[in-house]
Amino acid sequence: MTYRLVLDATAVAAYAAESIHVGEVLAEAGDEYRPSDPDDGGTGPLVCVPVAAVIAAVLAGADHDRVAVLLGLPHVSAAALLPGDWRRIANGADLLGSLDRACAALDQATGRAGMILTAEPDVYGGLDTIRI
Amino acid sequence: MAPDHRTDQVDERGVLITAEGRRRARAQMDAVANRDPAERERARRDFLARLDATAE
Repeated sequence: MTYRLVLDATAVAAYAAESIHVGEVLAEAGDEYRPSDPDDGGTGPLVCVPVAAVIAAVLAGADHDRVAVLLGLPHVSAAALLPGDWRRIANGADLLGSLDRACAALDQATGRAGMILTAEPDVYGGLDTIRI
Repeated sequence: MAPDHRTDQVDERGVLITAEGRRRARAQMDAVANRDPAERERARRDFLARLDATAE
């Protein structure tokens, strides 16, 4: 599965804090979304939110109800850590400073997600990011 | 070019999302998507190499 976007904790927190720009980007991704259909595979969810980003945002004070709204959007999917990624994610967290950044960066670098939605694009070096 | 059907809307949070804001967001996404493929691949490879080098 390839997502258009992956969110890090800053993007989740910004969504919960009523960020207009995050809403604009998610609305654009939502327009591309087509539900699964027996005759046409549809797009599947186009926005990935690593569970690590959800937890980090909530621990930083993001509103639980707003986070639940985000995860309930049809074009958004929460993503658990993949067991096979543990070593790269651990090293990524060490390099980038947090677990949620590591998850977002690994998703983008491996092609599972097209770009990272974040308030901190500079921490991701040359990876593809959208600044919020 | 396909017609632009965007309109101002209030999203699921009750936040006003304007058509103009969405057009700016789309332009930003397209600019990233149209980045030089070689540069993108180099960045991805370099990042993964750093992860795997750290693993050793």
